[in-house]
Amino acid sequence: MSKLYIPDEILLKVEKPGRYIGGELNSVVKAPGEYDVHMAMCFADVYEIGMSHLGFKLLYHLLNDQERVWCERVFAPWPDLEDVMREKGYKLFSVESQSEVDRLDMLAFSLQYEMSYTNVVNMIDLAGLPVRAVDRGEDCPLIFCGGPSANNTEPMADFFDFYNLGEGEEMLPEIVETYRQCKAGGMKKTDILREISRISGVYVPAFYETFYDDEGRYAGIRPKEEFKDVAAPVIRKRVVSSFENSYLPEKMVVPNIEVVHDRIMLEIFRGCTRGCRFCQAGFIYRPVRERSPERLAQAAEKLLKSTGYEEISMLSLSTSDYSKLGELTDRLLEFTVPERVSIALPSLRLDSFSFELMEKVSAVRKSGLTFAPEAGTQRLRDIINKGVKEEDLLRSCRMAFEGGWSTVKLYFMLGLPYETDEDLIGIAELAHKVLGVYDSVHAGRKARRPSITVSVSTFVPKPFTPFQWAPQIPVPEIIRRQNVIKQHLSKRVNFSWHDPETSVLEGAISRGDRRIGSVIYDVWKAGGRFDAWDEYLNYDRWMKAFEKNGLHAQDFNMRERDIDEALPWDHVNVGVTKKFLQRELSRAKQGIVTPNCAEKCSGCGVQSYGRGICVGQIQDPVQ
Amino acid sequence: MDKYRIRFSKDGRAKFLSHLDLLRIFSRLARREDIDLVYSSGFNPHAEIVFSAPLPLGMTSDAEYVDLLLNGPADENELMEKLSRSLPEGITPLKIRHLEQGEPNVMKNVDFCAYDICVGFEDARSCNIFPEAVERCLSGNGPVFTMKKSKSGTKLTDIRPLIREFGQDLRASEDGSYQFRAVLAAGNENNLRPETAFRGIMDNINGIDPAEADDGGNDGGEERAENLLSCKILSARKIGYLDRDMKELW
Repeated sequence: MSKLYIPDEILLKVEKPGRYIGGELNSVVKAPGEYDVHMAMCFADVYEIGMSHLGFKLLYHLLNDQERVWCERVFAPWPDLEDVMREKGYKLFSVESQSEVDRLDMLAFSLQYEMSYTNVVNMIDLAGLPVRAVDRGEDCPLIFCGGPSANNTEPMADFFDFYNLGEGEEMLPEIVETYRQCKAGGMKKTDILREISRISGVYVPAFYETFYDDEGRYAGIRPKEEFKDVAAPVIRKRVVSSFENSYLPEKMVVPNIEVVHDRIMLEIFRGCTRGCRFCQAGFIYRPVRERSPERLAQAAEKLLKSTGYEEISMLSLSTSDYSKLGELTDRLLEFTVPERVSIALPSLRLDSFSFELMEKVSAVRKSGLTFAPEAGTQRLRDIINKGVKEEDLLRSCRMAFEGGWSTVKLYFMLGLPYETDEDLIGIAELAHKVLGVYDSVHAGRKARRPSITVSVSTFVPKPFTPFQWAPQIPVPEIIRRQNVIKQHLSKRVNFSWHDPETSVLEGAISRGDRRIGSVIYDVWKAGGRFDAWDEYLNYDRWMKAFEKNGLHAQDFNMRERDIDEALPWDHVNVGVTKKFLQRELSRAKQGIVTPNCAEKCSGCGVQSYGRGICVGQIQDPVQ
Repeated sequence: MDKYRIRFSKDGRAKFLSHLDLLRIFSRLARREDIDLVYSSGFNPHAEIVFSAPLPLGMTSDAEYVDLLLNGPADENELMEKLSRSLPEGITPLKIRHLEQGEPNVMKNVDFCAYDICVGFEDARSCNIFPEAVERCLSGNGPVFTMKKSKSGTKLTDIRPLIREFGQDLRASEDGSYQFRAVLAAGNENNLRPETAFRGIMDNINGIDPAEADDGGNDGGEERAENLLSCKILSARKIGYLDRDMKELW
């Protein structure tokens, strides 16, 4: 095994040195000669966060299962180590071979959230590479990205050579194989990019030029003349040809140190039938596709054997919507019970069926039930298409309290479109009703003090949602609305909220255009990193960077956009049409609920993929 | 139920793995290797795995112990083989023993612990006078006070009674550093860490008030008067536990 890159005396002085040492179970090390393409999956946050992402680990194993490819892992060093590295001249290094990454063939970044963008830039720089793609020469690795935030390609377009738009399982093998052939043929970088650009779902920002109108607003994008033969005007997201048969690793790298999500994660289905209008994941991961209980149970058993994990968690956007949940649970229990492995059922809607299920898997740790009504009144819940009724929530709570629970967490959003103070007061009232249910269940008896928490995050409008045109509210207004809730909330209810500055910056970046790249660059240049961590975020630094570039953050996050104006992500087709999103916005304004895809197809456009539960449904584009 | 005690070493990158990391590693390993551990009853059952005292992060060791409680007898060779192939790099099982009914915890009969301490000297003079200076410090009549962490907080403590042997067999290593043996109090009653002993002795030799010395007090030595001893601790390795008769533990 290779030597550690960072010497012991440095590692002993930093927090959690176990982040940097590698050597984990099932991590992949290949010998020289076993591979032609040497690459790394990069995560722009610390080890414990990156190693908690199923997609990141899944693609790592998928790439290593390819012939002639070795894929390592790279994480952002925490600032304590980074400071020493910069002072002493160490560069960004990979976990497996413990070597500098600037000589690798490709670096693939997984973009999970916008506030990690300064870390991406910082990591490229720490690798000793020019941060902007245009400045990187022939001997630099190709740096590309994928993941949910990559769907708005523009804010990070300056820094990446290309984008993987869509499901990595489908695209990455093709990308690395194309690269391998190009490299074997001794091709130059631009020519390699030309070849990779031919792959469906790939976007090469340098092949396009963007336009702005007289008022300085984004006006559109088109392929440059010399790249028209390879650069498509619109890039369509790729999806796996069969989700049932798509890649499920039999081994999964097991961290030695504790990470945030440290268990077997079983992706039971992809996409979501609900269409909550604020939720980007609910639209970009369509079509809705399930895996069979047989295949899932088989995969879980193998993973258990190869990892020794003590817990299996089902993963999806809404566990209760999996059509064969009971059958899958029974199949899993056959081998988890004798092995003393527990099953977790996250984001379960509480009804009698799920209670029975929870009893069965004895996931009855009576602490911590969570509900996400998202909004305080039925009016606003209808606007956001969150199909939760107050009666349902209170019934679930009654069931839970009768079953011995006393801790409930309620998740809400603040700053939703068309929100009024009445809706905010409604949040407090709903919490009080939950409290009332608890009191009535325990009336006349001595009972434990209930722990009811209201957790309120700030709504950030995202691309590819019906609210992509909606204005975000400014920081003082966010604080005022937080206070409205606080004032109306009983002392018996705990209240937690999010940092408003993070939310408005996330709003400005996520709907930004290509010019945001210079803002991100300047923030990084001024010392910005780990902006997703409250203790490192510096709001003024961002405001100064906007100003320096002659831009106003409000133009991107707080301005209501015209329904037909050019959007910086119009050249990406995720399957859901702009027409559908416009329709959904207008229904939101009228407070009309759109049915669940499983009940009725509303013609979102994703049927064009011919996959998943859409197949064969009659399209009925409700107006 | 059968209990097995395994002695193992911790080297290389494994020195950065904590006590809690090891607990997770052993319980997952048992599941992968079909080692039939006994689980506690109750709401959150956990495997019956008991370690010797936690090793400070960064220290290597030849004397780590783990007791595994199994549902029935196991083939000791097979168990060792499973551990060898499944433990992370740097953790090596050394020997195994079936425990008798009612045999106490490893730490029960421990009074001392032997360490190999690796140091670096700023100059040849410091190196030459080191054994004698340490000897003089420890053989005098006065106490050797230093700031020491205990359950009741960090306070000024006389560490001399806790030191059995220190620095008398100084020997040069190939890389220019030096090594010596230290035998310090260990176990449930008293415990003295090598760094604490080292700092206390150096401050005493150099006439530094231990209450005022900061953590890096012995590190540099650049700002010291010339006649003082300038020495820096580089690493420590736990060699083995000893009982009150200085007999090494299994």
